[in-house]
Amino acid sequence: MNIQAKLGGMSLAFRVFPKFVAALAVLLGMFFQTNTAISAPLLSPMEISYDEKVLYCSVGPVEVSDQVILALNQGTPITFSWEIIIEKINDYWVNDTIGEILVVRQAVPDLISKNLAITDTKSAISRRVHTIDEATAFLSKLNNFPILDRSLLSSGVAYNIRAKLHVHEGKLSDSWWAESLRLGKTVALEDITLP
Amino acid sequence: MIGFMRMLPLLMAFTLWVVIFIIWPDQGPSETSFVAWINISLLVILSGALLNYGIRLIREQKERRAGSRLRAKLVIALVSMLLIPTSILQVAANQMVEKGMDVWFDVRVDTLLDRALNLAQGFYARVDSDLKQGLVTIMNDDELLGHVATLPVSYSLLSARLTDLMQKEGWQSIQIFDLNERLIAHVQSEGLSGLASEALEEEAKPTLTLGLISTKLITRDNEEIAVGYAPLRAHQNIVGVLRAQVILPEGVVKNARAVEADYRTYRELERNRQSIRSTFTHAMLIATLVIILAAGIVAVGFARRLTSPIGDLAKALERVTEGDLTVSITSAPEDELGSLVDSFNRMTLRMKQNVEALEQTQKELTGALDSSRQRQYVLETLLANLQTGVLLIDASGNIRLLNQSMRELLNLSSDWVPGRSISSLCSGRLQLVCQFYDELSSQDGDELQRELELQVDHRNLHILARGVKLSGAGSAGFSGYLMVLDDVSSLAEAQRHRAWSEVAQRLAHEIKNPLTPIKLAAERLQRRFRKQADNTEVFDSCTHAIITQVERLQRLIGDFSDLARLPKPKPDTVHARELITDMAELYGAYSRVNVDQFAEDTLCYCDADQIRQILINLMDNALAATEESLAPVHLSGGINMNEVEFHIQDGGSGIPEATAEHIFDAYYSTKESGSGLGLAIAKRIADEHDGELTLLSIANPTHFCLRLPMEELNMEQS
Repeated sequence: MNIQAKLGGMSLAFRVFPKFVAALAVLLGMFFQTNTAISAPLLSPMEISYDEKVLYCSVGPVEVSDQVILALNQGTPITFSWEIIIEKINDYWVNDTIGEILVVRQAVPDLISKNLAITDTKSAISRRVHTIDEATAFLSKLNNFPILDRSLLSSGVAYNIRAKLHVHEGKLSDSWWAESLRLGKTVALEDITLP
Repeated sequence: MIGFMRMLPLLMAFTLWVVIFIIWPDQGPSETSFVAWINISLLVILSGALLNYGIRLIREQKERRAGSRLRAKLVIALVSMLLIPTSILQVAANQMVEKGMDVWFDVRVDTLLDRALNLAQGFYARVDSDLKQGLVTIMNDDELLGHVATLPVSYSLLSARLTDLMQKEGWQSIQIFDLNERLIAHVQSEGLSGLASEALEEEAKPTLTLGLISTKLITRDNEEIAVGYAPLRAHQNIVGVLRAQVILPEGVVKNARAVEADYRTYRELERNRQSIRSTFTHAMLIATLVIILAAGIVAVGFARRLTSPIGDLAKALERVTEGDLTVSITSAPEDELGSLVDSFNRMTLRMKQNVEALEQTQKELTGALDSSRQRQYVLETLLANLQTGVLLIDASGNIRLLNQSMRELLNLSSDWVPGRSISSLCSGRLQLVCQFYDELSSQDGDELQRELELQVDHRNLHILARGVKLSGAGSAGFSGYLMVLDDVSSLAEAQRHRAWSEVAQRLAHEIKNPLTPIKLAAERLQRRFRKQADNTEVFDSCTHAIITQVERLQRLIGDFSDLARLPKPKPDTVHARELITDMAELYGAYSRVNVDQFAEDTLCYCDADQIRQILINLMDNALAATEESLAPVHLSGGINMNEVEFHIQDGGSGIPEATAEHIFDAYYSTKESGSGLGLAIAKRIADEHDGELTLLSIANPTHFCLRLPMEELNMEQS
């Protein structure tokens, strides 16, 4: 009888567990959907240019929210994580990813000296600006940014270039899980076909 | 109340969905949303569990699952007991957080931090302005400019002047670069420890090219340095760049940076005030929900563990109620419920043994009852088929049993039913029966036998009555009287007839023998001595009288002989119509005789000669009765049930009632010349044919009926 009771309990667990898993999956999906929508700028213009060797990308400027401006005014660092994804377009299958480029730009206000240190963390290039407008201009756009070696692309083939942006308020954490949670939202799209 | 209790989980699930709707996260910091989503997940799990449990409760209510009601009560009570304090705690914690937030983000703190930041900013601004002012002073110092513009440069004089100026301004270092950004002079307050020369920074380029005075702040690990750049002009031409640096006081810098950090933190918190509140609330809610979930799981487990034996007991009781006494509960906890289960098992075992004993007893009783019923059936059949009338009367005089023969024998009315008192029913012709009962009940002896003469339905019955007194001990507790009545009329009649036959035979034998010689002697006398007689007339009269009376005596003796030696009937199949036809031919000479033939020919089984004798006897009697009045005589045939009937009716003067009672008795006659044996013989013939001769009406008309069985019945009987 106890074994039957246990089996009954297990079968109940097996019966109920999938419902909860499904409910949790829906909720997590909604969570992430909501999380990326926190700083969801509208689609911005994107320009793709290239020379003989390099493909360049210009995105933005994206709209900077009042929340970001306020945070900068009150001394909170702001980080814009740009992710440029280049994919080969397939008609009947998932697109092939050719390359992914991550550009992290940060503005750290100094309330005492009343200037802001703006940094491209990947290239470690830093400088100081005295106004928030300068900082936001630096953060909110990529200007003719080199993204890919042209030799990786084929002529006459359609490619999709997508820019995703995640805006983070505060000090940027270096932990892996924090980095994995920085899921950007697509802010620009462009299809190109090289001659 | 139970219905509400069963609906409570569903109501709670609905309430939880309302809570989910209320706390559904808006766009905000991901951390807050994450906590909120954890809460929503927990709420969904909880509401799902409640929904599932509520549906199961309702289903169990329909299915009437044993122990489900108690389990539902326990779970709901336990969860409610926990839910109420945790809800109160949640509300109290929310209020505390709300109040705490108001205290933390007080306007005074806000102002204080603003002022502190302004102070720090003012200090840095003052350092910057002082630095710039000093640079202006130095760049306009003629002595210094003279040393710089005079070639070759006197480094010692230049350094001395710079040292004076540095000391005067309170700076820590002064450097002079030429137009080629080469360091041409450098003095510092730290002596030889900091002699390493530095290249001119990018920020100094505008100064070098445009002649602008600029400053910057260099932040190092432990210190902050204010650096200023100013052009050195000679004759309106820039000849070099003056670079001065001031090390900010460590304590001030530390405090200023602390103020900045606090201000930043405060502002971040203030910006996220709502989300902090939500985070606190959600954190508390997580704790509450986890506690409730854990309590619910524990409550369900506890209730299941507690109610499982009760459910088993209830199921077992249901089975016992349905008659299954083989049920036994095998598993039971070692507590009071366990002892209850043991008691139940013992009870069912005892009930099973009792039921088995009862079934055995029932089986035996059923056998005894069947045997009793069989005996009763035999007795009833016996009583029903018994031609003897049986009457059972209890001690109080009420009739307990009455068989059909008794009813037919005494032609009893419908009042004579079991349960009625015999004394209330005795009157008139049944007075003798009641007298017999009175005598039986009043006598000392146990048995009584009497012969009773009763008149029933114009018939005189000779009844042999026997009574037995039943005592309580001898008849299984029944006390009363058993009366048995036998109709011995036929027996008495036979005995009487036999006696008369013997008398007739003897008389015939003794009288018949001398009659013939008497008659012959009288005829001889008449032939030989008639002529010798004096008075022939008297002689003839006397001899004729002798001869006539002898002949009469001979006929009488013949009738006696017939009665005594009436032959056995020789029955055969006879057409009833032929008998009527014979009578019609025989009495055709009589105009007043009317004959109605049978509607259809019917066969009867009889001795035709003897039946003709009866019919002739009846017709003769009818004609004799109507000899004077010449009233019509009517002979007709008919069929009634299984009997053939011959009806003889006449319109004579009728038969007196007193005569009618003895009309079929032998030697009873109202006619002077009659022997009184005609109807007696006719009745005897009818009886011997299993028929019946009856007087249906004594006058207007006088109606006799002869009934004979039909041929088929007699054939079957034979």
